[in-house]
Amino acid sequence: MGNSETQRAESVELDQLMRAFYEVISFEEGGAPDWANMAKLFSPHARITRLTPEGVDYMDLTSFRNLAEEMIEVGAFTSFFERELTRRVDRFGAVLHVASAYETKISPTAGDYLERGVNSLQLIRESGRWKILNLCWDVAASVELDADNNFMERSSHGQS
Amino acid sequence: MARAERFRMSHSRKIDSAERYVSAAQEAGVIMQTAQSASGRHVSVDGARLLNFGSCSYMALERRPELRQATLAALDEYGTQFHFSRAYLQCPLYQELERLLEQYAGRPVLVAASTSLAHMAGLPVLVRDGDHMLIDQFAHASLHSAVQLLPAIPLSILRHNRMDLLDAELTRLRDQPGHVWYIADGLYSMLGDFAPFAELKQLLDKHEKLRLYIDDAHSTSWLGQHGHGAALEHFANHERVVVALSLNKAFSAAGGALALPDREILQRIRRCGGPMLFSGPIQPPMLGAAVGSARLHLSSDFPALQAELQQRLDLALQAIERAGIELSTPARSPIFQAQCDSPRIAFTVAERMRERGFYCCICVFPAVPMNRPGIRFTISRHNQPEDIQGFVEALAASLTEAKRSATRN
Repeated sequence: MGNSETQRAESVELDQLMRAFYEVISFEEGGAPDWANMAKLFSPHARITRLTPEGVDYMDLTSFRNLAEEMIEVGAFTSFFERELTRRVDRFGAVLHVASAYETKISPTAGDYLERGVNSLQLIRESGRWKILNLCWDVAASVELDADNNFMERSSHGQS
Repeated sequence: MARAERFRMSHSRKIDSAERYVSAAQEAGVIMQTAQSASGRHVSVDGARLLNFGSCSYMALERRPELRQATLAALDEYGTQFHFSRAYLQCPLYQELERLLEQYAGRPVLVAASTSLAHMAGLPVLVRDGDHMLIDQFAHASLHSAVQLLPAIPLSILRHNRMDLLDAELTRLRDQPGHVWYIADGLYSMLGDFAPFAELKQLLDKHEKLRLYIDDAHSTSWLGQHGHGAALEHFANHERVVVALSLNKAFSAAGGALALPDREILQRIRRCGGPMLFSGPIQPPMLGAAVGSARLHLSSDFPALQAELQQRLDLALQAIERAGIELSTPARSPIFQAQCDSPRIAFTVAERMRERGFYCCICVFPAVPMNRPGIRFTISRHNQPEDIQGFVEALAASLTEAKRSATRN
């Protein structure tokens, strides 16, 4: 394959990966994230980091699952819908950096969102596929979109 | 190599995180406010006299002469406080109240200073070594606090009202020694839905080990014979069911109570249930109010008062259906949640409702799951039929406006 064909194939693969990423973490009422398929998207060496105003959670996939299961168990969420709004991608050699603007909603058809933010992901190629090596997000950093679908940080969400 | 410890959020992180969400609602001016006055039908907030659709006084008894006279008589007889631990010497009104409540509940009743303290007294005595506890994830916070008093007893949290999961757990634990306690609310205070009583009855029949501990604070008084609540209506005097009642809320007095299967267990809780020995008693005037309320509940007038509330519920449900307002649950109770897409919409709706002259409450995380924000409102005998119609119309308009203002790309 030529360079342009390789780039096109990798772009399609990235689209698939990002679509799958948001699909596996979302779940219907009474359900749970798709842990088995989630693991397939991540490197076995992956780290997941959540920043909140109260502190930072440094996790691997297992820890992230523990955290999510605890939140589901205590009823913090009974369903979860998150989708990608838009993304910026930078490539440096064999590393992809994806800044993926997302929104969470109570349901796919809800008119308003609960949160908008940015998932910062680093991807590397493992076994011939892009895999997520790092996922990091700040729950308090909200974003807004302009008319061209570019996103920027808002100083205040308005609903916290 | 030691197995990695399961990742859990620390206690302080949970408190700090909860504070972030509660602060947001407080800063929006929709919770933790102070009323200037309250008459039942109306409540004054921020200088505005609002029609009250947020009260737990479903039966509107707090200004009834029966309660007022009993309160004043107790005040005259015993003063403002009865200065003894109940472990030593109790006010005689306790005995009268428990006698009346036994008629009301159809089983032995032990009064506590609050429903929360009743849980703290009852559960550690009822649950024994070798038992297991299963608690509904949406059970009242006082129940989740009370089970923490039993760190040596295995505890699992079950998804809300999932009887299939309860059945599976009971099957899994069938060869274990001891009993399996299912701890839940009778009527859930935020979403207004009931425990699935019919299925619980089937599970009681199927699993001999099953014991139920039901906090029925929110269906006390307005539902069932003499107002003894939903759980006692369904389980009558079932020997494996314990029901906690509230003498606040619709009962309009003070304290809580445990309706127990027999006197032996009542005596054990009286002797060994921590707060029964160490916490202060209900003050005589409010014991008097409870006695007056209990007498009213047992009187021949009471079914007519319950019927009045039912008529108001009919009016509300018909108006809600006409207005096309989406409720979280189809259950028929005085507690309603109108769903909103976000806390921001809920805050806006509450604000618009005040502008229109109505008081109602928001319910957002951590009171409900993050994905279940909404407006919580209640119907009581204080609400006049014309108020109910006006409230529902105002709510429909406020929901539409708030949704429109929140519409984004």
